[in-house]
Amino acid sequence: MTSSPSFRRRRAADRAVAALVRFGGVGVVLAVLFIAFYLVREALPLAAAPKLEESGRRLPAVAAPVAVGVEDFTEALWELHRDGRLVLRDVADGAELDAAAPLALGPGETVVEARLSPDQATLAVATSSGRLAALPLAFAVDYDDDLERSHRLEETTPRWLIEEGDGPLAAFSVLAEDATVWGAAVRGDGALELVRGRIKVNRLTGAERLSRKVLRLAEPGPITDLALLEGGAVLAGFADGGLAAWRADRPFNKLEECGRTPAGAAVRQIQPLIGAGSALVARADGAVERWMMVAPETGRPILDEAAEMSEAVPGLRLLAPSTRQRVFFALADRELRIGHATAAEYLAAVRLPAGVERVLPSPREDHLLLIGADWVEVRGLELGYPGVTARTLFARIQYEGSPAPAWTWQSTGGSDAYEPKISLVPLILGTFKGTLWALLPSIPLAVLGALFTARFLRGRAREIVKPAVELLAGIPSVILGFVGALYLAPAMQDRMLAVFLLPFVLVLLTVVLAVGWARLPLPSRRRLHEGWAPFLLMAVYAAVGAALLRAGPGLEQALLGAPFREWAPAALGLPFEQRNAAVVGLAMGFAVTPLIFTLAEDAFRNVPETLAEASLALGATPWQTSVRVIFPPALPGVVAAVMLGLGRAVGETMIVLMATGNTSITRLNIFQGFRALSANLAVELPEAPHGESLYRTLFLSALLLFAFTFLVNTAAETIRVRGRKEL
Amino acid sequence: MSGLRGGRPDYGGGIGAFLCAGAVAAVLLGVVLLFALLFMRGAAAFWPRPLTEWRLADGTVRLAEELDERPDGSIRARIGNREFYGLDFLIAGPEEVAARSRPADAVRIERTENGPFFGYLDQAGAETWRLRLPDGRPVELPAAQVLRVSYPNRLGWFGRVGAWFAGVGRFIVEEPRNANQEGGVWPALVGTSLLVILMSLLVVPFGVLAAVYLNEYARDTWFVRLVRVAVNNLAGVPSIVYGVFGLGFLIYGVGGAIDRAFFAADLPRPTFGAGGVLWAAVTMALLTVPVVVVATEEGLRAVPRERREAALALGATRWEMLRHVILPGARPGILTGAILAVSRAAGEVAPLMLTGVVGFARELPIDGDFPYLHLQERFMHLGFHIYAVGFQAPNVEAAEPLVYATAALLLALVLALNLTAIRLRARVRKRLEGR
Repeated sequence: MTSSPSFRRRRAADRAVAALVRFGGVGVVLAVLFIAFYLVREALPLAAAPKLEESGRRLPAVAAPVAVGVEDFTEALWELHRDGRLVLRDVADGAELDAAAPLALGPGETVVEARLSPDQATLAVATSSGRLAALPLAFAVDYDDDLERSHRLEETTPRWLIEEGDGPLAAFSVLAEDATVWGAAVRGDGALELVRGRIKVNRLTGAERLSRKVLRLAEPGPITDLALLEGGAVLAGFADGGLAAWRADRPFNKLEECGRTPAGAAVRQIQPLIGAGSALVARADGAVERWMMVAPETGRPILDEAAEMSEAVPGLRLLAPSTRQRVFFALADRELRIGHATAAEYLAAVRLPAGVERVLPSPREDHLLLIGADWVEVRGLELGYPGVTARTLFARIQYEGSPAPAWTWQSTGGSDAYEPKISLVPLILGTFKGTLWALLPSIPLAVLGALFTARFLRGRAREIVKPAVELLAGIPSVILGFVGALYLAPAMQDRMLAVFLLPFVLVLLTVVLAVGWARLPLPSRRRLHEGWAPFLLMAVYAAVGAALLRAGPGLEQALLGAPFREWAPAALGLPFEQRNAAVVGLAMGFAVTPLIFTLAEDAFRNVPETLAEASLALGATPWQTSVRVIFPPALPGVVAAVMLGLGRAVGETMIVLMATGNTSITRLNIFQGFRALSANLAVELPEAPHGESLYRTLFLSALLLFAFTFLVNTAAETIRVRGRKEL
Repeated sequence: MSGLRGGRPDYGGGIGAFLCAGAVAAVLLGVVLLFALLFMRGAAAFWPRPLTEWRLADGTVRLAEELDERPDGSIRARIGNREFYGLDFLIAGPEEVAARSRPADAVRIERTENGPFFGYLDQAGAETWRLRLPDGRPVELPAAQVLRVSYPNRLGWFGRVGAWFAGVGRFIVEEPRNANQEGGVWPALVGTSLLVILMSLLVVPFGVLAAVYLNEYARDTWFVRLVRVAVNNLAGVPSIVYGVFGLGFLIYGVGGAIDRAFFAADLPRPTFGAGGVLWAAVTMALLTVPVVVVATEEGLRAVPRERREAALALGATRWEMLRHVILPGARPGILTGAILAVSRAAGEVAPLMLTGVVGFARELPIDGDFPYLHLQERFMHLGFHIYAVGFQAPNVEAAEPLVYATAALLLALVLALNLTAIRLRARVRKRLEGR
C-alpha cells in the first residue's frame, strides 16, 4: 500500500464523510423519533399523584383562634379570635403584622364558630348570641424599594345576615354571589332560616346597604349540618342520615322542598365546593358523596347525587375544599386523603402527625396548613394535575348542573369556578365518526377503480387516469375543507335525499348499461370499447347526476312532503346540521380515495403477470382472472392500502375543522357534525396555558393520535411486506 | 401487462367489470368537477361583471352585479354601497324586479372602506368626489378613499379580458385590505415562499444525509430495518402532531431557552418563544423528512451497481464514489423529494396554526430593515389565508370570490409542483426498471 500524502488526504476525507454521514443520518432519524418521546414526556406528569412535604414550619398560635388561614403568598397568617379580633402574623417568625376588629361584637358576645368559603374570600361568622355575619376577607400587599413584600389587612365590613340572636346557631352557611349574600342557619329555636341579602350601593355616597329578606321553616327536623348552593339552595343533612334540599320560590314567599333522601349513615359535614355548584356530604362511616341541584328540562331543580367517592375513609373527621379546583382534603385519624370530586376518587394518602384538628390549603394551593389545638404547620403542597385521571378522561361523569352522567369535552369556561369537562371519548368518537363516513364511499370506489385501472386500462387511458388520481392526492386539505364547508355543505343541505340516492341510482344505471352492453352485437362492442368505458360512463354519470341533484329539492318535497333537513329530525329523530358528517365524508373522500387507489393499484400490479396469463390461457375471462386469480394474492396489499387510508382520515385536520361545526357530541348521526381529536388540537392548543392541565391533556390526545396512526401504519406495512413475500 | 392483452374485446364478466369502470369514472368525475369548480370560480372572481339597474317592485332602485341564478328563478346580486343599504347582497325573485337595464355610465368604484360603490360619478374633485346613488340621491366620498374607478358597462370583450388580467395581477402583488376581504395576497405569497425556502434549506441536506446513511453506509441490521420502517411510518403521522411538537418543544422549549439567554430584557414579551416563521419551517422540515428520505433512497437505488463497482475498482474512496458517481445519479430522486416536500409544505396548514401563522400580519417577515430577515416574526400563508378569510372574515359572502381565487392560486402552485415531481419520478422509476 502506498501512503502518499494525497492518498492520506483522500482517506481522511473519506473517513470524515463516513463519520459525518453516520452521525447526521442517525441524528436525523433520532430527531424524528424524538417527537414520540417528547409527547410522552409532556403528557407523563398527568399521571403523578399529589405530593405533600414530609415536614414543614410549625409556629405556635398566640391563643387558640376560631379560624386560621394564609394570604396569597403564604407569607402571612391570619387568625380570627373569639373576641372578634382579626390578627395578621408573619409565617416565618410569628410576629404580629396587623390587627383589626371588624366585627364590633356586643358586650359579652364572642365568636363561636367561623367557616371559610371555598374561595377563602368570605368568612361565615356565628356568635354566641346566635347572630350570623358574612365577613369578606381581603389582604393588601405593599412593595418597598427593594420589591420586598409586606402584608396588611384590608378594611372590611361584615354583612350581618342574622342581626337578632336567640341562642347559638346549630348549623349555618353563607354564600356570597355577585350582589347577593345568602345565609342559612338553624336558629336557637330549631327553625331553619334562609336569608337573602341584596347589596345596594348608594350611587352618590358610595355607602353600602344590605336589604334582607328572610324565609322560615319552623320544624325542619334535627339538622346536623347544612350548606348553601348556587342560587341560594339549602342542602341539609339530618342525624338519621337523610338529606333534604329547599329553595325559595319565585316571589320569595316560602321555602319549597326540592328533594329528600331516605336515612343512612349520619351526616357529619356538608361542604360546598368552589363555585357552590355542588357539595360534598361526609358521613359517619367515612363515605363521601357529591350532591348537586339538577335542573330537569321542565320544572324546578331537584337534588341529585352525582357520585360517591370510590372508597370510604375510615375515621373520617373533616373535609376541606381546595380554592381553585374540585380537589378536597379528607382528614382522618392521623391520615390525610387528597381526593377529586369530579373524578370521584382519592389520588393520594399521607400519614400525619398526631394532634391535627383541621387542614386548609393556601389560596394558591401550593401549601397546606395543618392546624392543631395551639399550633399551625405550613407544608409545601404539589397537587400536580389532579383533575386529569383515567376516570375524568374516559368515564361518564355527571358534571355540575347536568341531569345525567355523560361524556363531555368542554375544557374551559367563563370563570375560575368552572368545572372542566375533559372527556376524550367524544373526541375519539368524533374522529372515528369522520373516518367511518369518509371510508364508506372511498373504499369501494378506490379498490374497484384500482382493480380496473390495473387490469383493464391500457395506453392512453391509463396515462390519463393515473396522474389524475395522483394530482388529486396532492390537493391541500385546506382547499378540500373549504370546498366542503362553503360549497358542498350549503349545496347538500337542500338535496340530501338526492345525494343519498345518487350512488344507488348510478350503480343501478351501470348494471343496466352492462346488461345492455352484453346484448350488443360483438363487432360494434369491439369498435366502441378499448378500455374507454370509464370515460363513457363519466359522461353518463355527469348527466344523470346533474339531473338528479337539480331535481333534489323538488324530489324531497314530493316524496317526503318537506325538505329533508326538516323531515329528518321529525321523522327519524335525527337532528340536522348544515356542516355534518356527510359533508366531511365526501370532502375527506377526496383526500382518502386517491391514497387508497394508488396503493391498491400498486398491489394489483405487483401480482406476477404469469398468473394472469395462465388463467387466461385456461379459458377464464379477464374478469374471472381479475377476481379469482389477481385479487386473492393482492389482498394483503389492498388491506394495507385501506389501513393507510384509515390512518390518513384519523389524522386529517383541516377538512374536519372546516367542514364540521366542531361541537363535541357522542352521536354517530350522519346529519350532525362532530369534533375530532385533530381539529380539537388545532383549536384549543394555541390558547391552552403552557404546562397546565389542559395543555398536557391536549398533548395526551396528540400522543393518542400519534400512537394510533403509528400502529396502524406499522400493521399495514407488515401486512404488505408479508403479502409480497408470499408472492 | 393487462388482462386484455390477448385482444379480447370483452370484460368477460359484464356487470362486475362495468362497476369497476364506474368507480374509475366516478373518481375521474370527482377530479374534473373539483378542479373545474375551483379554477372557474377562482377565475370568475376577476371577471368584470356588468352593472344592471334593478327597478324593484317596491320602488327602490339598485345597481346590481348579478352573480348567480337560483333554482327558483331568483337572482343573487351584489349591490355594493354597504354604508347606505346595510347589506352587500340582495336576492330578488323575478316578480320583485320590475325593470332591468344597463346604463352605460354606471360606475364601480373600489374604495378603502365599505366595499365597492355602485352608482354614477358627477365630479371627481381633489378633496371629495360628488357621486349619485343608483336612485339619483347625491352623495359625497372623500377622494382619499377612492382606489379605482371602472365603467363595467362600457367594456367590450377585449376590455374585459384586459381587466381580468389586470385583476389577477393586482390580486398577486397587492396587500389585502378591508379585513382580508378585498385586495391581494402578496404577503401570504411571500410568507409561503419564505417558509418553503427555509424548510428546503433544512430538509434537503438532512434528508439526503439520512437517506445516504440508510442506503449506503448502514449495514442491513435489524436496527436499520426498524429505522426504515419508522421513517416510512412517520410519513403517515398526522401533520397536526408535528405542530403539537413544534409548539411544545421548539417554541416553548427551544424558543423559551433562547429568550432567557439572549432576550431576557424583553421578557415576559416573547421573541423566539412565540410562533414564527423559523419554528414553522423547522416543524415543516421534520414533517417532510420522510418524503425526502424515501424519494432519495429510490434515487440512490436507481444508480446501477456496476457503476459503483467500477468506481471502486478504479480506486475511488467511498466518498469519491458517492460524490462523483452516486449523488449525480441520484439527482432526479433528490429533486423529486425536494419538490414533493415543497408541495406538501405549501399546502399543509394544520401544523402552521400551532407554530406561527396568522390571518393578517402587519409586516412581512422579510423587509428592508436590518437584519432584513425576521425569523421570529409571525407570517401569512396562502393555505391559512383560505381558512382565515373563508371562516373568520366579518362578511364571508363578500370574501368568497377571493377565497376561491386564493384556493385556485394555491392549487395551481401545488399542481405544478406535483406534476413536475411525477414526471421526474417516472424517469427515476424507468431507470430502476430498466436496470
